[in-house]
Amino acid sequence: MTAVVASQDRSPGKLGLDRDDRTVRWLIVAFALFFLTALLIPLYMLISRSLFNRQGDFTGLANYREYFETPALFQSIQNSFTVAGISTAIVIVLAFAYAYALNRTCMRFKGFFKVMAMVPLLSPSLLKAIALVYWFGKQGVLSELLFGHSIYGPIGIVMASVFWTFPHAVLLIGTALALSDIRLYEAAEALKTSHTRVFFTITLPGARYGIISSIIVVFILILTDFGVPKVIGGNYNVMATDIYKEVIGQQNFEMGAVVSVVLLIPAVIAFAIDRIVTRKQVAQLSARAVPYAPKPNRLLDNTMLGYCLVITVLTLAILGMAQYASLVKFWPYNLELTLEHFSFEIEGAGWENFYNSLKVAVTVSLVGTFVILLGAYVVEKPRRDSIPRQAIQMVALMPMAVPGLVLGLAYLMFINHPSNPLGFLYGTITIIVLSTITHFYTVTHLTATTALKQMDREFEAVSASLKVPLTRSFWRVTVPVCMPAIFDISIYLFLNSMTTVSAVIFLYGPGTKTASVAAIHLDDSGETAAAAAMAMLIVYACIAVRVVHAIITGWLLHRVQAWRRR
Amino acid sequence: MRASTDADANAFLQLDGVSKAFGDFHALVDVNFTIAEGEFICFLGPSGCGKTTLLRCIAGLETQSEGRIRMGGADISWLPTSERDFGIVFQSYALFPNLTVSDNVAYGLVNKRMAKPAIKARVAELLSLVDLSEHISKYPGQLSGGEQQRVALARALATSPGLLLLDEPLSALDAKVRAHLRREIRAIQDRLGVTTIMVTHDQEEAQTMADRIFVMNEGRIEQLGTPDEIYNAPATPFVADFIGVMNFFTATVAEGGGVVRGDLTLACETGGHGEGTELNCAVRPEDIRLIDRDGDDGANIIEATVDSIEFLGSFVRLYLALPALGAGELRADVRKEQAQHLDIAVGGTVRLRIPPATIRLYEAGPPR
Ligand SMILES: Nc1ncnc2c1ncn2[C@@H]1O[C@H](COP(=O)(O)OP(=O)(O)OP(=O)(O)O)[C@@H](O)[C@H]1O
Ligand SMILES: [Mg+2]
Repeated sequence: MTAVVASQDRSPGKLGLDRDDRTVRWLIVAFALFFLTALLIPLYMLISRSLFNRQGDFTGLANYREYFETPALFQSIQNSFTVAGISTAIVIVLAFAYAYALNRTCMRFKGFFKVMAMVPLLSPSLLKAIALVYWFGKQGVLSELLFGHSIYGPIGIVMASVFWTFPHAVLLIGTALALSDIRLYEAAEALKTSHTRVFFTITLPGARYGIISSIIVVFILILTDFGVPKVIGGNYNVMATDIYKEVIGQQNFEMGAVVSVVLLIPAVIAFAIDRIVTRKQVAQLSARAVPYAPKPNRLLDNTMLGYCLVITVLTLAILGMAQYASLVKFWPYNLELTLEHFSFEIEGAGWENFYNSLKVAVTVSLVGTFVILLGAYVVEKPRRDSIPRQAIQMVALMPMAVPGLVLGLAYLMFINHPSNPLGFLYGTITIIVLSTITHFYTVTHLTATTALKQMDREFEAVSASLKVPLTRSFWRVTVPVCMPAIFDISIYLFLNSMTTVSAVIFLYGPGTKTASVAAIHLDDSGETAAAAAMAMLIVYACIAVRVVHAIITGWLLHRVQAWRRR
Repeated sequence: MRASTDADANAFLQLDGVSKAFGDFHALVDVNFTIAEGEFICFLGPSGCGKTTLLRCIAGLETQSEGRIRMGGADISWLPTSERDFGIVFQSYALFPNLTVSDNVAYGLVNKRMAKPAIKARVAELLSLVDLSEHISKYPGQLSGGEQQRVALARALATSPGLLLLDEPLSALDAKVRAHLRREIRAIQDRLGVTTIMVTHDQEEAQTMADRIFVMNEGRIEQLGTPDEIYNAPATPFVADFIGVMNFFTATVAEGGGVVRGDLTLACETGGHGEGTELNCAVRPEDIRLIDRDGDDGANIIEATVDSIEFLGSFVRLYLALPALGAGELRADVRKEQAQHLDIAVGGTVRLRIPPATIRLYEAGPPR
């Protein structure tokens, strides 16, 4: 009867803790520490730094006053919003038509065009900028098309931004268009509604949340992007390049922090709106909706085929030009092909940059996937509700609103703080990995929670009744069942770690510079061909990993996970 | 407050004043019962009455706000799920989709550090118990709903738990499979003698399977008793109404016994109720006898008009109008042959008798 005695002196109202509860408790503590170190403390330091002067005295909003009174800096805000606004408008229209073709027509070669739309994801944003310089720069192939305007400046930023954000917009709008109920269309047809009217009264309103969401995401991506304006912005300053200049050029961390906070505000607001809108979109589709199946329409299908072909050609023209640029001996005077740009015999650049990138990407994709899955599990699965768990869920959504450059600067201040015991991490691969995982945390966390939500809610209860520890159920059931999501997360992390610049540019150290950062530096010092070559290395790696990923996924889902087939 | 420390020596499972509140909402209110070892119990009640919540409290998946739970003499009120001794089958089955049938069943055994051959033998034994031996290496997705259900049952029984909890295990299945599985589950339970609690909102299921039924309503246990007691002696109007079909009407106690309503006087046992008390009278349709126009004298013979007729297979249900009760208020069930014999038609009159012993009286209070 020892159990009676033991259980009776527990305070009533609280269930005793078992091994699993203790495991969860430890995990919650671990994630609390993770988010404190990886996000909250650095952000706090960044924001507080903007309230101090260079000597370290608290000056309140003095820095902000100075910022808004400096015409050049203030002008950047306007510039940033202008290019982001124009680019977003263009990319949304283009992407909507493309996504419409993929989801709502009987166009041929859909599979091919689906893949082609995603090609820009395989290269860093700066690669598009470099390619544009070769097409439209002073010595470009098609410079006359700009009628004397320079590609360096708003025109270049807009064009490059449109190219690199296009796949993101297609994905988001495509999801919204795919979620539609055919019965609405059948009803409209029964009422003999014209095609145009159907489009404006059913199609557009149905996709409106997806469109709003993609407008927000694209706008913020462009507003906070650093690679494109750095390479092709010329004298046209935007906020992202200002942060870089203040910090790297003038060592003015305080002003860098001020610009960061100013950039952080619209991003936070935008992503708050986005979260609300996304929730609405999910609620909009009833569980019993019948998916839309397009009917053939000769004219529409062929027009769309032509359109998608044009977009694909443009996409490939960018990638192709970058490839060509990396192979040409001395553009435009000596067009002989050579591999010499790939030897990087230039100060501060080399193959080790590429190896660093690989190291970072592989680590982020392995460690990050595990951490993110575990984090989502802690948020989603334990039976007991607790405030710490809800707090983790909230914090996990925050990184999405933090621009990479801002995160990088926050890390820099955090790691360089004299009393930080983690100071030794400065310039290491570890800190780059940590910042990258944090940077891409939200999207992957949401993918993971969605996958976990789709699992039976009672798995954990069954395991507990069978006295199987949580850890075992996690490996034996959760991980295998979530395998597709795990693969999606890992490839997403890999591609993004390979191509990202923004956070890393403040954090690399001697010997840990990554390829994308090296490409920026090469371009900066006029070694455009070498910069193109470096960017192309990233593309090769991304393509290779993508292909291997597709093969492994196919093999795993069809052979090892036979249970998925019915 | 009742003394919560006295344990019933014969009880296998004992609940003492268990309540559960979700915020302001009281999902369970002062639930008390004892269950003997080996019993098959059904929690029966309408949707939302708290059956699942009660089951989850017993499993430790939900924490009671008040009260105590004892099992096998020990107080398990605050014991976490993994330290309680039970097997559970959920409505969704919650089978692990990536594990074969045999791995699912072995899931809890592997943890017990049993030797591989022993596990294999146990799995084979369980699968033959639930009659699934030929499906041993299939995945759950390749099985029918009924088969999945039996796998879940085998998995719950694998570790030989002292208590088996089933939450609406049959509700997702079609009628035929359900009837078959009822018998099968009961047979397995008889064979193993494992104490079992099954949640259901299907009274037929409860009637055919349970040793005792606990009828629940709005978080309370209204009555606990054998299927026979529940049907024939429902303790409250709710139970009377919920189980089977019941005619209800109010009447007052007449002088010299019986009840009266308008010009209708019915003889019946009025117990201790004083004259003039308003009561709820309940009569089952099948207890009302139709009689020939001139036959059978006795108490409680009434004439009524047939409002409408419903054909229900082997019997017909008459909706009768009486001046004292109103149109269609009284339902009576008649065997088909008798209905034909009496030549019943809509608009015609019938003579019927309500045997005094079949009239049940409940205090007419506002229902809870
Ligand atoms: N976690 C919870 N939070 C708030 N209310 C709850 C919670 N769980 C259950 N309830 C409420 O408690 C009541 C009883 O729920 P329960 O699931 O026990 O009903 P049930 O008898 O099993 O019904 P059903 O037959 O529909 O399964 C319901 O009104 C339900 O809404
Ligand atoms: Mg229920």
